[in-house]
Amino acid sequence: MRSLDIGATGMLAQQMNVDTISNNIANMTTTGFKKQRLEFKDLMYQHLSRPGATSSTAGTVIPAGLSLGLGVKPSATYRSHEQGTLQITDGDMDLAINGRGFFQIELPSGETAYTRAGSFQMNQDGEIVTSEGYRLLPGITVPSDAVYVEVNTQGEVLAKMPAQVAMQNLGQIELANFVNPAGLESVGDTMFMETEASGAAIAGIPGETNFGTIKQGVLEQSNVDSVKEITLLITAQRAYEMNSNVISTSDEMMDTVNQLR
Amino acid sequence: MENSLYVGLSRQLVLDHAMTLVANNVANVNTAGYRAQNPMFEEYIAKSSSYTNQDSLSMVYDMGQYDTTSPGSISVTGGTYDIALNGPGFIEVMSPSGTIQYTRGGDFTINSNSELVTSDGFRVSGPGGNPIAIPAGANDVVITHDGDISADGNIVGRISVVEFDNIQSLTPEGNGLYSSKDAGRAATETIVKQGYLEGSNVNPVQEMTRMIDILRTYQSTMRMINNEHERQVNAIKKIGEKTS
Repeated sequence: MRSLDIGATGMLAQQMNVDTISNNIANMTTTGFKKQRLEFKDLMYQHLSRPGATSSTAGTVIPAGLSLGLGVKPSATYRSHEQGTLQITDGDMDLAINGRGFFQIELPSGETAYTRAGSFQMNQDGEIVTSEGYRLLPGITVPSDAVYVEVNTQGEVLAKMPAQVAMQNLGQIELANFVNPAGLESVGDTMFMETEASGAAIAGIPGETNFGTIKQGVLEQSNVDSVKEITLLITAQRAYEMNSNVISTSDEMMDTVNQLR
Repeated sequence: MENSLYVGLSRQLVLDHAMTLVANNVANVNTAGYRAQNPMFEEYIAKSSSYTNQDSLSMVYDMGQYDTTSPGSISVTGGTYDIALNGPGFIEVMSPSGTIQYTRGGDFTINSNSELVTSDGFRVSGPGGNPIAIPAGANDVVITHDGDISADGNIVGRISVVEFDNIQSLTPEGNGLYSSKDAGRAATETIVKQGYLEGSNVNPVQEMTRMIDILRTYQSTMRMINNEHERQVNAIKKIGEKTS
């Protein structure tokens, strides 16, 4: 009975759908989180007769073939890089990108990761780091005697030093862009890694064409829409139930066969 | 003498196929661009005896299936490369074997060469089978109702949408793709909508009812086979009693 296996592929796919949705809901308040959507595709087909095959020597053609589909497969998790809502936090080192682009982060391994979560802090050496302690690239060190630090929309980090009128320029925050941000690989901690599908990172200054601007004292919330996720969850649950119905019906059919002597 | 058993058997084989179609429809209830399949049965008449004028037997076989062609539910996704078709057309996709195949599932993305691809990585084909490349760093990609793609105001390609005289002649190939022997003609009645996705057109209520129907028919056929079996056993027994 093919329908048993097909029902199983449906249940597995919907299970994965619920997994994706629950991850979105769990990260509803995660700064810089981007929601995911699971895409499905029909599995292969068993062609018992193809449309267009001839049914007689006179050349009569079968108008529609007999192709039995063998189920469904999850094909991709599509990550939506829509802008999340911006929330004012008034934190000195809370930075949000309004528009396209990612902050570049140096991982302990030396590799570069990319993130939209701009909840930065300073470490003991005055370097700007993420909440995990990874350095923001290019590295910017804030002098210990700075009165306050300001980041303008173009990403310039300026410090007010004691007994100085002019602000001191500490460095420039650069953003990275990708041709296909949906192709980035998630590595957790709301960080992404470059892949072949995303294309190479294109670095640029905030505010330039194709790059968003920096907002200080603001954090980008996740772009998860709770109402939508709950609706999707209901759909997924019902689809799961329907697939389990298919399995129990197939089971009943096989049971009928078994009762035959 | 076993003819009535074979009639029942033909019905059960067909029901098994019908159940497979239902199961596949239900499994793909959330698949973008999927079209529900329905079985088509036909009577097959067999003469029960070649030399007498007895009644002929009629069996059943599944001669094919047809797709439900009603549009699936359209949902707003806001994705730049999410495309829904409004009308009977299909989007041309270059399959890995190098032939043009067709799809209704418009959940596209771009690959590392910034070419427009399906979620399985197959290239969406422009007129003439050329891939559609979106310039790197394009800020604003707009897809018009005709399928023209413009990046920052410059037209960079066109999604090739085709229509078929007989939609049922398309063969499903999996991955949301269909193959066809005819090339199809340029679409005149189909509109491309950006930022929308067409869901599957499976009607869950219909599939569930059909499933119940299949199950009960299967069971009643089985009962018929069982009764016929008992009748034969009784007949043999009675003949045995007469002769002994």
